Formats: sequence, C-alpha cells, structure tokens
Amino acid sequence: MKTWLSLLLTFVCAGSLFAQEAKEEKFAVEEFGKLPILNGGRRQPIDSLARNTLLQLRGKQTANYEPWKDWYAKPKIVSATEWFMEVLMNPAVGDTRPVFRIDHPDLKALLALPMEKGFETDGKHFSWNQLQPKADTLLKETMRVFNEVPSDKRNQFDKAVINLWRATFIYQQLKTSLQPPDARDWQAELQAFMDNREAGREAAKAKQAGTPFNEAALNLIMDDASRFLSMERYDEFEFARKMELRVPLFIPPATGNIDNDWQRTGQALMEAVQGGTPNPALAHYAVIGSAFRANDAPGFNNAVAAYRASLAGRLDANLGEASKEVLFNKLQLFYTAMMISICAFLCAIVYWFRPVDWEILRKIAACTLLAAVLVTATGVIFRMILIGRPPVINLYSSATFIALGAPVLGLILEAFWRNSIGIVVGSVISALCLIVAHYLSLEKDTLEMLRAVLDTNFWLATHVVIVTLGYASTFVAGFLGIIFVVRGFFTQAITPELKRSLARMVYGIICFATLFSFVGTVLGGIWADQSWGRFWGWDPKENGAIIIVLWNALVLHARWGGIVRERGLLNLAIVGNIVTSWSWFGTNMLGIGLHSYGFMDAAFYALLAFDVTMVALIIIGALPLHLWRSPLEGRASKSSKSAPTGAEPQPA
Amino acid sequence: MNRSIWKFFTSLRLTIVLLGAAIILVFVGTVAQADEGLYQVQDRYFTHWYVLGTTLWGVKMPWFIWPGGRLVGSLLLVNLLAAHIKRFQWSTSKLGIHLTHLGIIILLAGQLASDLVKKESHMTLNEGQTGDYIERARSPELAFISDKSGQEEQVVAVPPELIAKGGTITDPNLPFTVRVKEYAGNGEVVSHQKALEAAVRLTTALATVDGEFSTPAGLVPQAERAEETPGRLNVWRAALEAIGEKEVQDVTATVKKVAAQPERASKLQTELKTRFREQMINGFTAQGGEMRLAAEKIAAGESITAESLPAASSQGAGAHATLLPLPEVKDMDTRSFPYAVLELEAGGKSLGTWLVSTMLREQPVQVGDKTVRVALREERQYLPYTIKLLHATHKVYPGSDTPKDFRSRVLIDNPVSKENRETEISMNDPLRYSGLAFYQYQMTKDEADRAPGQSVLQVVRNPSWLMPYIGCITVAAGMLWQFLHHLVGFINKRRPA
Repeated sequence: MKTWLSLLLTFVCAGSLFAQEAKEEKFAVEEFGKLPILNGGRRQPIDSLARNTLLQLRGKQTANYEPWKDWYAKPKIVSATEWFMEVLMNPAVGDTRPVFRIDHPDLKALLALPMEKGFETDGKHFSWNQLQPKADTLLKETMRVFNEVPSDKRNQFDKAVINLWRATFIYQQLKTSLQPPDARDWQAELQAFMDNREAGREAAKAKQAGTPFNEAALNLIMDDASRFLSMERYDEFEFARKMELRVPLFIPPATGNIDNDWQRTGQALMEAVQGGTPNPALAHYAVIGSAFRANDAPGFNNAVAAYRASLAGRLDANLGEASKEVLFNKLQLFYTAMMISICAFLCAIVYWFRPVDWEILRKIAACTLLAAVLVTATGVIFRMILIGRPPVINLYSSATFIALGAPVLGLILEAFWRNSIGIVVGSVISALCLIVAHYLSLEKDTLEMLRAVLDTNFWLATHVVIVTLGYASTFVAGFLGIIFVVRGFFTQAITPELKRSLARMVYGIICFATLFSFVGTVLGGIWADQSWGRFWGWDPKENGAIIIVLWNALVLHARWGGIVRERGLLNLAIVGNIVTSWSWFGTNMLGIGLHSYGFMDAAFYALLAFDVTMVALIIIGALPLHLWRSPLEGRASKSSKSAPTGAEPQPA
Repeated sequence: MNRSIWKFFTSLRLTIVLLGAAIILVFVGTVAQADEGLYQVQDRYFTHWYVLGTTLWGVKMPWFIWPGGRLVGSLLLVNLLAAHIKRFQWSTSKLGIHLTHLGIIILLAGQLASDLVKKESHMTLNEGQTGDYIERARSPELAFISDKSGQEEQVVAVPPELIAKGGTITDPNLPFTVRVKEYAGNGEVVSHQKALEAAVRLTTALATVDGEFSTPAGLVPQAERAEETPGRLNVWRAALEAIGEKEVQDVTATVKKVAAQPERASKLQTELKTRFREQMINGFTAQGGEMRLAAEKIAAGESITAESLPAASSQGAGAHATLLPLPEVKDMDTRSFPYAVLELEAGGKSLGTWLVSTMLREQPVQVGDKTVRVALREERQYLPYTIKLLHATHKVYPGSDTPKDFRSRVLIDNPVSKENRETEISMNDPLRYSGLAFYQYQMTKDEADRAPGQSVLQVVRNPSWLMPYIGCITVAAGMLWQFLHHLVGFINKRRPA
C-alpha cells in the first residue's frame, strides 16, 4: 500500500515537475544539465549525477523545498539539476534546502532534529544547516559502527547512521566539485589567482633559494593553494574511499578527448598552482558560477552556451551522449511502462467478471500490455545504446529485462488462449519487476561501469540474457499457478477444461524455462572457465542458477512420471516462484557487506513476505477439492464447452 | 533381489528424490557459506559423500545429516545410465531426450573428473621477472636447496603428506637425516626482539595508567575528561558500581561525592587502575603476534627478557623467536602459516633443531663444507620452460576505484620447442600452453597498491576442461530438438483439419 502511495506521489511530483519546467525560462537549467562530466568512470551529463544524488539523499529524482506542505498546497518542487546548481554554485542557499531524508527516530533524536511535523518541517526531510551542528556526533557514531560493528551485525540504527553519513559526505563532495565551497564571487577569485599565479610562484622559488621575495604574492598563492588542497581532501578521505565515494570529474581534458585525462576541479586548480597551463574549462565554469550566484540569467545562459561551444568538435561524442542521456532521464520510460502495465492488469481483471460480453475489454487490455512492452523495449534498447552493452549488466537491468520478457510470453499465451490469463500474468510480473527496478535505482547509478571481470559483451549478451529469460519464464509459470489457485479456490471461474489448459501452458513454459536456465547456467560455467579456470565454483549466484535448473527438471520429471497431475503441476509451479526469487535476489543478500545499504535490507523482508505468500498459496492449492469454489472434481459436461470459457486455444 | 535393485536404480522416483536432495544440498551449501566460507563448504558439502551438521543464518544445526555432492551426483549418474539402458528406444520423438541426458551424463562425469584430476596453482611475477615454476597455495613442501655448479640449484622437496606423517626423512643428496619433531597447519613466528619492544610499550602504557590514578585530587577532572569518550565512561561506571555506588549515570557528580571520602576515593582508584590495566592488556592480546606474547607474559606476572622467552628451536631463525600456535583458518581472505620443527642429524649426532615456516625465508645449514638451505614453502612444480612478465597493466576507471582492465604481457621461452614468443593474458582471455591454462587474477585494490607492477597468474591443469563444453552443446541440442518437435506438433494440431 505504501509502495503504491509513494509511487503515485512520485508520479504527481514528476507531473508537476514538467509543469514547473515550462514556466522556468530564466536559467537554462536543462542546458546546464546536459553538460558532460565523468563520474564513476562513466561519461554522463550533470543531470544524471544530480538525479542519482537526489535518489540517494531522499529517494526521489526531484527536490521538494517545502516538504511540510501537502501536495494540494503546491509545495515548491524543483528539478534535480536546478537543485544541483545551487549545491555546486551557491552552496550557502543549497545548505538551507531540506533534501536529506531521515526516518529512524533514534537517529533524529541523536541529531536533535524535530521528530514530528511542525513549523516549516515535516519531521522527515532536513537541510544540511539542520544537520551541521551535530555533524561531529554523526561522524563519531559512523566511526563506531564502521570500526566496531561487523557489517552483518549492524542493526537498523547503525545502517541509518552509515547511510546518512554517506549522504552528507556525498553532499560535501559535490559542494567542492565545481568551486571552493566558500567562494563568494568565484570568477573574480579565480581571476585574482590567475593574475597572481606567476608572481606567487616566483616568490615561492625565491624564498626557497633564500633571495628576497614578494611576500604579498607568496601569501596569496599559499592561501589559494590551501583552499584548493582542501577541495582535494574530499577525494582522499580514506574512510570514504572504502565506500568508493569519489569526487566527480567536471573538468574535461584541455586537449584530446581521452576519458583518463578528465580532472577534478581541485586537481586542475592544483596543477595550475604547480605551474601547469590552467585548464580553460575552469574559467568557463567560474563565469557560469558567478552569473548564477549574481542571479544573472542571461549571463548564465550565455556562459553555458560559450562553454558548450568551446567543447564542440573535440568533445562532440561526450556532448551527444550527455544530451541523449538527459532525454532518457526525462522520458522515464520504465516508470511509464509500469503505469501502463498496471492499467493493462486492471482491464484484464475486470474482463474476468463478464468474459463473454466484455471481449472488447480483453482486447484493450492486450493492446495496453503491448504498449507497455513497447515502452519497456524502448527503454531497454535506449539503455543499450547509452552504455553500448547488452541489455543486462546488473541487478537493475535484470529487473527491467524480466519486465520485458514476461509480458511478451504472456502475450504469446494470450494469442493462443484468449482468456486474458496471459495478460494478467504478463502485466503483474512486468509491474512488479519495474517497481523492484525503481527501488534498485535508489542504490546507485544504474548505468554503472563494469568491473574488469564482467567486461565482456559476448558473455553478457549470451549467459546473462539467457539466464534472465530463464527467470522470466519460471516466474510466468509460477504466476499461472497463482491464478489457478486464487481463481479456483475463491471463485467458480476454473473449469476442468481451463485447469487442463492452464496445466498445458505451465508445462510448456517450464520446458522453455528449463532450456533457458540450463543453457544460461552452463554458459555461465563456461564463462567462469574462461576467466578463472574453473567451470563450477559453487559460488552463491551459480548455485542459485543451478537450483532453478534442478527445480524445473524435478517438476518435469514428476509430471512425466505421473507423480503429480495437473493441480500438482500448477502448485509446483508456484514453488518455482520461491526458487527463482531466491536465486535472483536472495543470493545477493548472503554476504551483505560494505556495499549494501538500505534497500537490500528492505528487499530481504519483501522477499520473505513474497515467499510466505507463495507458501500460503501452495497450502491453499493443496487443500481438498471440496473446499474449492470452482467445480474441479469430476468431468464437466460437454455442454459447458459451448460458452467460450477460453479453456481451449481458439482457432486463430 | 537383483530385480528390485535394478528397478530401484531405474526408477523415475529416484531421479526426483535425488533432484530434490540436490536442491536442498545446494541451498544449504550456499547459505552456509556466510558462516563457513567457500572453501570449507566445497570440502564439506559438495566434494564430499555426506554432510554432517551445518550452520544456517548463524544457527548451529548439528542434527543436519544429508547426502553430499559426491553421493547425489554419483547416484544421479547411475540412475541416468540405468534408466537409459532400460528404456532406450530409437525414435525421432525421443532423440532430443536422449541427447539431453547424454549431455548431462557428460557434464556430471566431467565435473567428477575435474574434481579428481584438476590442480590449481599460481605464479606470481614482478615486471621483468622470469618464472620457471608454479606454486600451489595451501600445500606446503619442505625444501632443501643446495647450489650446484653454475646457475643450477639442487632441490630436495618433501611433500606435505610426508611431513605430516612425521618420522625420519633421508635422501642421498642430503648430508643429514631429517626428523620432523612437530608440524602444524598454522602458527605465528614472533621474533624475540619485537616481543621485547612490545613489552616495553605495554609496560610504559601500564605505568601511565598507574600514574594517572595515583593522586586522589586528579579523580574529578579525570572523570570530566572521561565524559567525552563513551568507552572510558563505561569503565568508570563499572568501577563506581564495584565500590557500591548505585547512581552511576552521572559519572562526574558521583565521582565528586566519592572523592570527598578519602577511603572510598582510594578504593575507586584501585578499581579504576585494575580495570584500565585489564583493558590495556586485552587490547594488546587482541592484536596478536608479539603484542599478544608480551601481554600474556605480563598478565601472568612474568618478566620479559631475551632469556625468559621460549625459543622455537635451537638453531636458525627459531633460536631468536617464539612460536604461537594458531587454529587453521578456513575462509578465503586470511592465510594460514604452516610450520614445522626439524631435528637434523649427521654422523649419528644431532646438529640441533630448526624452525621452518612459510613466514620465514630460507635458512642456511652448515654441514662440514657444504651449505644446504632449508625452507617450508608453497609446493613448487618446475616447468620445462620459462615465462617472463614484460608488462603488467592494472587500470581503473578514471575518477573511481572500479577495476577496468588487468592484463599481463609475457614472454614464453621454451628451449625444447625453441619457442620464444610474446603473448598477452587478460581477464576472460587465458593463455593455454602445454596442458596448463594461465589466467589473469584480478587483484583487489589493496593488493594492487601494495605490489605495483606485480601480476598474479592462476594456473590450472585440468585435462577434462573440454567436457563441459561438449556436454553443454549436447544438452542444448537435445532440448532444442525436443522443443521444436513439440512446437511443430502443437501447431499441426491447431491447424484446422
């Protein structure tokens, strides 16, 4: 319920964001968002960094400056980039924005924050200015948790502490990533530094040589250098590096277009101090920053355009990719697809109330689901273009890929059976997986770069894609089983014919799933043999995959041996849901370590709840038939076949 | 009788039971990895005949008894073969099923074979270094090395099984006989010098504690200072409770009260002293090594001098070191350091004892005019060719610590085949040469920082490496055949007659 509500809210927020952006004509926010940077080793637009940061801080892609207002009171909600501009270029104002979400009551108490909704606070979102007085307390607690509590022993409070510290540290890093955080008029300050640079360096050399030197020039450059060094310190903080928190690279190479030559602003400034030619991008960003701070929109817009022009030609590839990614961010394809899937699901369910009269509803549902598939496919392909890789590279993309595969299978089933079961199954799995994907996207940049060992498109394209298809098809079989149990036990909808055809569907799909999960698993083994020299290493992810294969094989053999019949097969298919969800997610939760934050814990309980539900359904499915509302016992009379129940495949 | 056994082994029910057993085994073996580590789980669950006891989610389950991977796998293999012998019939509709099962037989047999014949070792090279041997981790050998004419060395190596057996080892190439007095899987060698240094540090620290709580006037300000560190504050509270104070939440206030009564104040000081001393000693003990040695001695009230520390052996490095036996570690990240104590005898009389450990370097033993170097090291296998590391590349993505690329450019020099060629080994792209496969190992960030320019190659000898490939293709072909066969049948059936 809460999930739905929050998703609905996101939708509202996203909607109002578009409305807001249309009005906002002063600063070219979008143009600024399209500027290319390098973060986490990946070329990306500022917009992506802004969105991902907000996701980590408050779980949304927009910033709400007045969270204490209800939605109808029209709180001020701004786009991620707009908020980000303040953080980068006017942090004094940025520090007043309530963008840190804190839920744990003990953590709020520790930091002496308001616990409840009150004057200009909603008791959940806080600004850096509110956190800052207790920053030392937070750091001390974080150190305690990090050094004293092993990662698998941390409780909710410990995790909340680490999460918040991480968020605040990221925020501090960003404040120093484009200009010194204490800058007032960065353009003038940078100019002053540049003007004094030669004299200052001369003075320093003279002092070392013991000859007379210009003390004022030396003091100036020493002040600047210490300021720039303090920016660099945010990249070197050892504790943060353990969490892989690094300052993003904003400054493009002065010549050439090699990714390795990108620099942090602090790094580029230090190079200038040490006598290197100052990178021209520094001056551009300084003009942009000062114009923004002076609230000079035309000046800002011109400066952004000038900077873009200076990059054109040499860094066209970066600019193009960044613009594409901004478009991708804005389209929110997976989100849209989720909404469409939910509509398809509702239509298909309603159809079941009067299957004969409301045939049109089924057709609408089928078309809607097809639309969802197309939108998801566009999203998957768009992502592939952006990263130049096969569709599945991480857990997030496996969720979106299952959200694509399952409804396709559902539609194929629908084409044969025309009873809206395929639509329901396809749309439910698609919507659920896209919700999972949404929560996974809160964790980190979902377009992340791949570690060396995964960096091979061939195996990603074969092994990973095929295994994921195996997951998708096992889920489809499992959800068919759920439909059988729920409709059979609680309604009178399932006739013996329908039961038989459901069993046929499930049987076919399990065959399909066996093929995919087997081939995928073995390909994974071959990949492992290619990169580590062992075909099989019994590591959790491999074991998860083999369990799906073994399970599917078990079901098929039980069916062939006549040990289970149709109802048994359908019930076993539901067990397949447990097996698959564990292989897909559970194996990632075994060694919960340094890199798992918030979501994986929540996911653990979600997984548990899912599995418990499945067990309950299996128990219901195994109850004696006389308790069922559907007349499954005995053979139904031939006459019942006259009504199109959708039990048999309809001639095409 | 025979008939019922045959029936049992060919039955489909057995297949299902075995598949179910395999699922449970794999599941338990996966969850248990969190507690036992990957290697131990492999040994105890998957490459073993049965499983006795397990630990899931931190809960010990000694009653868990289950067939192990070997048993399930072999039974499945027998079941598969028997069922096929019994039911085999040649028809296109069954061809897919036969192929699938044949492929699975190949896979199972391949896994069993590689379990038995596969050998994993590694080769660690620095840039410019030439290697002519590979080493097996977790398998120490006792090596006696003597120089021969020119560049050559003569090596007498004793495999781990022989060391473990103990007893006397003789070899015509050795000028002495070797008696293994002691051999164990893990122990730390602590040099006496370091232990003495640690003892000085601990004694100083303890003296500071004693000094801190010697004047009653200091109590209140000390308590105020302690308020700033929660760890210290807890010790104060415990000490206050020990002298009978009930209200210990506000430490400073309570201490003020106590300080007013001289007798209780001195009692409190004694309590604090004991507690902080204990804390200090525990802290040293927890750090292990020389710190632990020093802490244990001091806690026992013994004085530490070079003479009072027990020597691990009478000769060599062990004469100035103490051995601290440790339990063997099983997880992947930490190493065990096996050690042995040897007594060498020549001409019927003892030359003394030597301590060898994988922590120690080679030690010279002088017998007459001959010098033999002795060491316990990872088991080596010498290659008939050499591999030289020309260049090691470790790249991370710019502005991040994510590893991007690990590769080694090497020169193979084989005097037999007169080969002298350069080649490249990278992740996902191993070098297969002379029945061995050399894989690039992805170092962790710490490892790469610690040893720049170093490259670790994992070396695997697995003659059965092709079997999974063949098995996989066979199964896929079989399944595809069966799938298409059904699909065609289904479509034909749907076509209106």
